[in-house]
Amino acid sequence: MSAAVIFPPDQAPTTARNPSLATIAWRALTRKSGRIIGVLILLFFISMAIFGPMLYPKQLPINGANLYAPPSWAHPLGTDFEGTGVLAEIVTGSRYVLSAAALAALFTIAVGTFMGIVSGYFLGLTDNIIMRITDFILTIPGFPLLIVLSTIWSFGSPIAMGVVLGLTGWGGLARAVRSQTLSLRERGFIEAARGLGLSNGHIIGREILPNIAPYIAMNLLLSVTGAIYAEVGLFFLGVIPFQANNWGVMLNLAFGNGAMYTPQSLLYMISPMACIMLVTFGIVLTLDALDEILNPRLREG
Amino acid sequence: MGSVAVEPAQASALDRDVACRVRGLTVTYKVDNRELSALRDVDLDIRQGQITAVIGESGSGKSTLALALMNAVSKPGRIAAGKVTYRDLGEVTAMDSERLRRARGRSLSMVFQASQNSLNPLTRVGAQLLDLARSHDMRDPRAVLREAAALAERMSLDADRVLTSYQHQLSGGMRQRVGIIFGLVLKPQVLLLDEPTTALDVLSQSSVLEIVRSIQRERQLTTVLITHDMGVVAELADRVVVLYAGRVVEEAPTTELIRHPRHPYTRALIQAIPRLTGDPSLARPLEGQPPSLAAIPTTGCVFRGRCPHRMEVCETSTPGISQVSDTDHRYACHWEGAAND
Repeated sequence: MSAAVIFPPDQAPTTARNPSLATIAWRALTRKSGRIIGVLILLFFISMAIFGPMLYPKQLPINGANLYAPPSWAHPLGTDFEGTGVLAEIVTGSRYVLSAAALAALFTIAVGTFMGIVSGYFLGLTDNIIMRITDFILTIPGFPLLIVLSTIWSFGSPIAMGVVLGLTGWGGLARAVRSQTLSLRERGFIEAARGLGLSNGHIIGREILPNIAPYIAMNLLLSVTGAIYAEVGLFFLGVIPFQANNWGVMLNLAFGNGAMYTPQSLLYMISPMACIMLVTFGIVLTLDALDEILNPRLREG
Repeated sequence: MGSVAVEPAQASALDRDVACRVRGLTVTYKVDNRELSALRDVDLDIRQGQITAVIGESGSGKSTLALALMNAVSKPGRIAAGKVTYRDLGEVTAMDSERLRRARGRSLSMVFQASQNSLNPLTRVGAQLLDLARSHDMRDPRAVLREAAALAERMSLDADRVLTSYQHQLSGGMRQRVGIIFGLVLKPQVLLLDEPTTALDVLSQSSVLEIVRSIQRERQLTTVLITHDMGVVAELADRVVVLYAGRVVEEAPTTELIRHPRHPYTRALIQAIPRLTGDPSLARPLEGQPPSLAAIPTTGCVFRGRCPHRMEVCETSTPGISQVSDTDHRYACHWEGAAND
C-alpha cells in the first residue's frame, strides 16, 4: 500500500511513460507523408533564405545578349528582361520576403495572444482598455498606412516591413483569442484551478495557453501567408520605392517590362508566384501535425 | 477541558468547537441591472471536525454558499454583506487576493461539482498535482505525489496508472475520485464537497462516500458537504443545514433532523423519499417549484408559496429562528405545529 512500492524513488510517476516533445513531434510528423513533405518544403525555403544569398554576388550580373533565355544549365529557370538568371533572383529575394513574413507573424501572434488572453481572463477594466486599443488597431487600414509610411521609410530592410505589418495585424487575433479565453475560463478545470489556489500566471500560461495553442497555430499560418501577400502585393503595385530584390519586385518588373507579351517570359513570371504558393502549402501541411503534437487525445489514434 | 489555551487573536472570537462562522451572509447576482440575492442573511456555525451537510433543491443557493465560504463568488455575483470567519485563517471575506489564493487549496480545499471535468485535458494528472504543490510552495513536491498515490490506493485506484494518465484516459468515477484526491492532497483544515457523488453510480457513490468518511474521521477534518440527496446526508453527515431559496430554514444534528423534522419544507423533503421496503406510493413529492431568483419574496417566509400550513403572518413577517429547547435544533417558521414532532 505504501507509496514507495508503487514507484521507486528515482522514478517519478510523471516521467514514467512520458515521451519527450521531440519524440512526440517526430511521431506526429511521420504519421502522414504530407506532413513530412510540408516540413521539407519549409526547410528548403528557410535554408534558401539563410544560405542562398551567399551563393550569388551582391549585384546580380546583367547580360544584354541573353534576354528571356529558355532554361539552361547556367540559368535553370531562364533569364529575365535584363538577362539575369531567374533562379538567382528567386534565391536572393527569398530572404527579404520570408524574414519580413516571419517577423510580422511572430509579432502578430505574440501581441495578439497576450492581449487576447489577458483581456479575456481578467475582464473588467483591463478588458475594456485592451479591447478599445484593439478596436483602434482594427480600424487602422494597414495597406494605405504602409503606403503613407513608405514616403518616410524606404522599407529596404525586412525588419521595418515586418514590424509595421505586425503592428497593424494583431487586432483580429486578439479578439479571437479573447473569445476563446472567455469560453475556456468557464470550463470546469479552470474553475477548479482557481478554486485550488493556483496563481493567475500559472492558469494563463499552463492551462489556458496550451488549450488554445492549436488555434493560435492556425492563426500563425494565416498571419504568415497574410504578411507574404501584403508585402509582395505592395512591391508588386510598385507603391514602395524598392531598393531590395524580392519576389514582389520581380513580379512588378516582369509586368512593367512587357513580360506579358512574350511567352518566353512565362517562367520569369510564374517562378515567384509558385514560390509563394509552395511556402503557403508547406505551412499548411506542417500545421496539420501541430494539432496532434499539442493535443494528447489526438496523439493516440 | 480544564485549562483554556490562549489562542491567536484572530481565532479568539470563535468558540473552540466552531471551525467556521458565517454571519449575515448575503450573496447577490447582478442580472439585467437588478441585484438578485441567491443567499440572504445566512447565519451558520460549521463545527470543528464534523461533517456538516447543506441540503436543498437546485437553485436554493447551495453551490453559491460553497463558493462564498471560500470567498470565490465570481462575477456577476458578489458577497453583498456578511462575514465568513475561520478559526485558523481569520476572516476570508476581508482577505486580499494573494492571501486568499494561498488559503484556497491549502487550508480550505474544495471538490467541485462535476469534478470529473475539473482536470486539464492537456496535462497528466501527476503533472497537475506537481503544479498544485508548486503553486502552494510545498518544499517537497514529490511528497505531495506520494501522498496522492497513497490516497489513490485507498480509493482503490491504480496509483501509478492514474498519475500518469490524461483526463480522457480515466472513467467518470475515476476522475471524480481524482478530484477528491486534489481536494485532500495538501491536507487542508476544511474541505468543501460540492455534490461530490452526483455523477457516480450508486456503488461507486457509496465507496467514495465511505472513503471520504474514513479520511475525515482519521484527520478530524472539518467538512462541508453540499448535496441534494437526503440519502447521502443520512449516511455521512453529523449535522444538516436545510437551505431553501437562499435562506437557512432549519439546522440540526442529522438523526434529530431526520426523526423530528420541524420546518414544513424539511418534512416535505423527508416525505418525498421512497422507501426501499413498503409501498413506494407513500412517498409524496413536494408540489410546485422553488421560486426563481427574481421571484424570491423579500418580506415574509420564502417557503409560503408551497407551504401547506400557510398563514397570514407568513406574508408579512420573516420568521425568526426558534430553537428546540435543550437541543441544537433550530428552525425558522411561524407555524405552531412546527414546535411539535
